[in-house]
Amino acid sequence: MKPVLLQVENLKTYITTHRGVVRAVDGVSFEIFEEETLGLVGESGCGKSMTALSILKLYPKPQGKIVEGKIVFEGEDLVRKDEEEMLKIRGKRISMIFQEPMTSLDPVFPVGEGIVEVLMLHQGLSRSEAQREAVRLLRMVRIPEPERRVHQYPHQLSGGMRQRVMIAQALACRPKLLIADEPTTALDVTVQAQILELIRTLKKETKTAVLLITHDLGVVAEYCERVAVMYAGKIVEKADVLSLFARPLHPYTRALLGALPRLDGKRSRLEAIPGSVPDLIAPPSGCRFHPRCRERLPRCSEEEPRLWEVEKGHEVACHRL
Amino acid sequence: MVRYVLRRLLFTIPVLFGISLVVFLVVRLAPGDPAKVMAGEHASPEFIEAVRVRWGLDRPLYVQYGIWLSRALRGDLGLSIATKAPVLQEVLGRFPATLELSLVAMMFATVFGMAAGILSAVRQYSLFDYLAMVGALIGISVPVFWLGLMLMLFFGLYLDLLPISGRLDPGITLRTITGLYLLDALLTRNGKAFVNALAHLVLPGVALGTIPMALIARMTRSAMLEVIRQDFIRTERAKGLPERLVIYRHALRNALIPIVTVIGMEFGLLLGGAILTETIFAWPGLGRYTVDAVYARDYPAIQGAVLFIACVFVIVNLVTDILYAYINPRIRYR
Amino acid sequence: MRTIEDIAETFRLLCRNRAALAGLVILGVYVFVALFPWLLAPNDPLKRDLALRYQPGFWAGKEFARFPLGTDYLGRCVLSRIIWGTRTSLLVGVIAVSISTGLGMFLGLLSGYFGGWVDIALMRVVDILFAFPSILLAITIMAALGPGLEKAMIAIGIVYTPQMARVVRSVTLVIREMEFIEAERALGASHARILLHHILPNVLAPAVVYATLSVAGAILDAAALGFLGLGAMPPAPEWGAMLSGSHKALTSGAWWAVAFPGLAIMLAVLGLNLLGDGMRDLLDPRLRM
Repeated sequence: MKPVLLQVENLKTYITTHRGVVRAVDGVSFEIFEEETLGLVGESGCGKSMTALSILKLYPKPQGKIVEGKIVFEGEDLVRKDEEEMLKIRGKRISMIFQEPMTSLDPVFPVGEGIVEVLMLHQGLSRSEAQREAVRLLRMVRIPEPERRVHQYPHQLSGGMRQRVMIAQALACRPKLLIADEPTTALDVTVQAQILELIRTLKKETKTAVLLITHDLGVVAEYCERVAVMYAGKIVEKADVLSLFARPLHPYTRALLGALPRLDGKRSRLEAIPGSVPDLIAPPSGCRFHPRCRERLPRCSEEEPRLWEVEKGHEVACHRL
Repeated sequence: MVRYVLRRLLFTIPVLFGISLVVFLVVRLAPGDPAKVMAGEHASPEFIEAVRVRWGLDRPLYVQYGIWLSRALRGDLGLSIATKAPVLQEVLGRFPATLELSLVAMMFATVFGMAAGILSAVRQYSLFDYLAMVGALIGISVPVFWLGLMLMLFFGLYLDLLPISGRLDPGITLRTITGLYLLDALLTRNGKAFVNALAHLVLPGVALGTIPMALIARMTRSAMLEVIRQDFIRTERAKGLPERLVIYRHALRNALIPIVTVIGMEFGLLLGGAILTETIFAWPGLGRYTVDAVYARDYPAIQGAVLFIACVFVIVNLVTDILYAYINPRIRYR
Repeated sequence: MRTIEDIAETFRLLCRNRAALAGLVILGVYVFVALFPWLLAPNDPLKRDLALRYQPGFWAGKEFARFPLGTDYLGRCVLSRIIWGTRTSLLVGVIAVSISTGLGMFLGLLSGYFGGWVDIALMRVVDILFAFPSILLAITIMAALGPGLEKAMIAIGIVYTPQMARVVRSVTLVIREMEFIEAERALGASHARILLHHILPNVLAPAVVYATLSVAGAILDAAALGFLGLGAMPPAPEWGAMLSGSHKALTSGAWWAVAFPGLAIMLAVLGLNLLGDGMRDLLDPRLRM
């Protein structure tokens, strides 16, 4: 078993809006081991993106704030670090790529320039060295004719190619952790597979761990080693991929899986989860899923369940177990 | 990009013709008999008739336009009724004064306006932001001629700090090469003239530049705020770029694209405002020449001056458009 | 009609915006002054008395209270002239912008809806008019028409027409492409009906915002024309004209003859800008001008 790279302990990130305080991340704990891919799954609005942003402290300021918790990365607590120290971590030891390749690259600079920037900033390379390395990186992400492409502008590239550029930028300094926030949601299905496959191949080369955030369980099944399921700002189940799909324990996880069409011939109705995503300003009492849960007990609306290990490597937060 | 530039150039030509048509028509449509005006107050009917024929005023309007236009294209804008001198010569003689004033005002407006706009955007909702935007709002509400008068009153008469009329004090001599006194003073190493000319440029320059400065500040602020909200700014921060670089290298460069357009438009405001400012500060420029010509009903002078100013404006807009295409990669690289 | 409810709702929302509210209040004061000048003016604005030229106002002492803001170079009461001038300036602004809004909407609707030759021709004309700085164009038109307040209104109205036409045209273009228009055409609705019933109401909102902001500019331009002696004819009390005799006032030290009329202009324009800004913020997402 590889050592722990990132340990998130009881992270709470709250955002102050004029309607109230949004408890986007409300007591989240998980760990990422070196060189593994951890999937973070959940519906829109469950707080998974905000968790990712919290790691690098990229949440909107001054509305957002980490009010509690620890994020221990290679022995250091990131929560205690100030902005100047975080600058040395972002892009260098932990990188992040985002969902919309269309708008995530600066339109007025050639795509190579973005990579050169990172290399010159974090690795102290000279401009010519950085330019050569940029071309090499574009080749690594399988962009054809990288010497030509490196001078082109984002609008001259397709969505898939832009995402590859983002990946090149993110991996340029060989970070230990890559956070990928729904990197393929905005892409065509065929391109999606290519990009995810690319990430999988590259991370082995650069020995990077990946935190893959997605709402697509199919992606999780194919590309992740471990999974954490989030709901309404909390983690409700955490396991390795095989265990989760074989024996989903939390009612929410089971509902999510039930909403997936099956390829094995068994025809059953796709089950929608009744109700809607809870308001994170005033979340439900006790277990946050209880209003929508078919199997709820009276206890579920009073007391919040804690994550505990049901079997080896498989944790769940539910009163039924 | 080349195609875009050519297209814009081609497009400008009919606009220039259209301007000449408007200038010609508007002035010709004035009530009163131009022949009589040109002949003078006490001319006899026969003399008036002779003048009419001499200047082709008895021909149909479109013929008159044709003649006027062909002459104008060759540089002949007629003779001023008031001074009997060629209009083109008078216009060209006065243009450098207006140009210098406009350039100084524009630099003042751009530098301070953009600085205020950027700082306001970066410190949104702060006291600075609030004050700057209130100031900008007042700035665009102020009549330029009143501002000029107030500045003149306070700094010129009350404090007696700065000169309030003309471009140079009577005692100063300067050899003019370009007609832009600051430049000429530098070229002829005439320090005394340089300082004097600069002093004379301060009050009219500030008066003229204040309204564009306020507008530029507002535009810069909103353009910056718009850009800072974009996704790619988040990407740049995620790369570990210090905030300073994120704002000044990435955000500003993107915001510059709409800002350049505004600055170009401001120049038109500037030319209009120059007309009023020159009147107040007795600045011997094209604006004042135009106003004097209107008072005197000096039609050739009015036509010539207005045509010239409008053409300058069109050219400035053309340059702005080309600049815009250059700095916007989406247009520059198809 | 739906539009009346929209207006009421817009008004309610507007009042929540403090800046717009301030603008509305300022404007209200001006409108009141414009409507009832005889109630507020302490003296006859036209009465001259050369013995009382360049008198200071109330700040110089109680004996100067008769002319609260002092007198001008002909011994006329500055305050009274400002009060009576309010009516003139507001009238010029409103009428000029009415002309430009009416003409501009008409041209913009036609141009945006029918497209083709009409559009190209009209937009060329607009571009040509745009090629002149606004004051220059106004002066040129006035050179042709001659001086006078009514002529100034027309001149300024013409100057502000092109921009209104452009704004209306671009909104029209957007709406024209919407599918419900196609549906209406398929149902046999005539051009006139579509224009009046569907496009016009949607064009109204940005047009009103732009008109409000235009009144601010129109008042400034009217004052500029007055300052140049091309607008209101003497001895009419007009703010801009009051500033044109100012050179003598300044050298005589009578700053009040210059400061107060200009202040009146500035506050009026400020109020309109506040209001216009507030309205534009309200409609912002729909109003990418």
